[in-house]
Amino acid sequence: MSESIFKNPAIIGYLVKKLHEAYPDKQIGKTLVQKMIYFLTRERIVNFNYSMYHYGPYSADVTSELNFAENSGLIDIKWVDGAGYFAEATPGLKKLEGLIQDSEKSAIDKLIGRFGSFSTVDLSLLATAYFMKDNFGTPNEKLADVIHNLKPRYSTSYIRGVLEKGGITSRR
Amino acid sequence: MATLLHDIGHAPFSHASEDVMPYCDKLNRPYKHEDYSSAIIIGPLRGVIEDHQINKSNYRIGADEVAALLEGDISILEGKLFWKVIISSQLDADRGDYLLRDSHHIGVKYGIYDYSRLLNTLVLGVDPETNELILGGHEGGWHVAESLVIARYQMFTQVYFHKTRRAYDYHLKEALGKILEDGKLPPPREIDEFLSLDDMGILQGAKSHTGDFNCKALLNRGHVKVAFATPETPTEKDEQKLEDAKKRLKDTGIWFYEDKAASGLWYKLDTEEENKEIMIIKGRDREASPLSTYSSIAKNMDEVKQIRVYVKPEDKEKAVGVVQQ
Repeated sequence: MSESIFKNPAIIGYLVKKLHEAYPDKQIGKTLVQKMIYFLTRERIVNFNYSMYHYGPYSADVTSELNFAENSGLIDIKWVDGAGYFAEATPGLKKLEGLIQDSEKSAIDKLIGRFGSFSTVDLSLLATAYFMKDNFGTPNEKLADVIHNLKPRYSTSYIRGVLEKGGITSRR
Repeated sequence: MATLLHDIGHAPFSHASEDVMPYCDKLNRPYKHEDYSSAIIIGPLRGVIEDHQINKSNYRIGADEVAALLEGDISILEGKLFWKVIISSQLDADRGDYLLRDSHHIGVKYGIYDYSRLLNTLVLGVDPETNELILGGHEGGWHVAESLVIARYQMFTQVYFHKTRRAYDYHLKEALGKILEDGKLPPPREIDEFLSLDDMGILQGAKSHTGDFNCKALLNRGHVKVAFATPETPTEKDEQKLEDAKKRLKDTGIWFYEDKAASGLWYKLDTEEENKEIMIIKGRDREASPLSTYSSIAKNMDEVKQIRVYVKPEDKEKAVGVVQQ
């Protein structure tokens, strides 16, 4: 049997469910899911194609799978004016969780342990840093400046703090 | 300039040849046509761009900047990367053009929408999840945004994902694997060799492999035929029916090819386009809301994930009987 078309939606649903369990008050929007899946892509747990935009790495395929997860009743996505999207796993996810391997579940759990507490904005900064390192070989010491030049409203010291907290760079 | 040149890296037969682009170890993924576009811009086109009199005396745009916009290299572009939304977003210039142009040349009306009205309603807003600037449509123009979404859906299902067009994507991909040296296109670092390939050369190559099923299909229009297809948005039950159909074909010894490209095709056809919803911008605060909060049509549009099973033309009748048992 070839890989189920519900595998990726199930992974997204599982990520949303576990994030919600770990951080019940957190807004789990589409942007946050995009960035978390980007980290999973880097670790080759999933395989999505990302391109860089002014708001960080973005994958049209992930959006497609996110929408399909919603169409298939694995997650609910609501829009709240002034706040954005709110995604939540539904009971329908349970019957498809079997498609996810234990190693994939454990990678997602580990990812949430490492990045789950970050805000969407900070995840965007971290994902941007990884994209620049991976694709253009930007050295660690230049990352904060490069990202600040893209997003001047975040100071270099703030960005540096986020990159250190995220384990991308270490304190000088 | 980046908008004009972003697709210049397409290989012969455009999207169909994307699958024979070699793997890039450094990037941990196969090359994409955008990688070839960048290589052409910073290579053979550098002088054309940088030495052009109008550019030299007015804009002084460097080839590296044009390529950086496609690649997303913020170390070169900094905040100017924002303008990538003109090349690649739900409201980008590429989509604005190709839906209308393809409709005209194919002779269909599916992709037609009010282009002038759309341009007049474009505004900037703020994404509440990230506080980032976004390109959207003005609240007063949400109906034209809706018509663009419908046009895109119709063109995708009726043209780009048409069963026969997809059959030839398969034959082209397989034939290219046979015709090209090592079965792959040359990498972007061998850009001159890449540029020497064209549609006519590939068709000529197909003539040298007339014994090959796929080359023959291209030359004689003997393409594979659909024996089974799921609905556009399959359920688990539909997926099970698909697996049953494949098993029956396998047990009967009928060769088949499974085309699962529907979702990937959105991406491929639209290059780096965003699959995001069109955002509608309202009020002085430029507050953004997705089109689906205005349009019940957009709200109820499901992802197209149709899967088709193709068989050889001579097996079609038997295969349909087998899967319908």
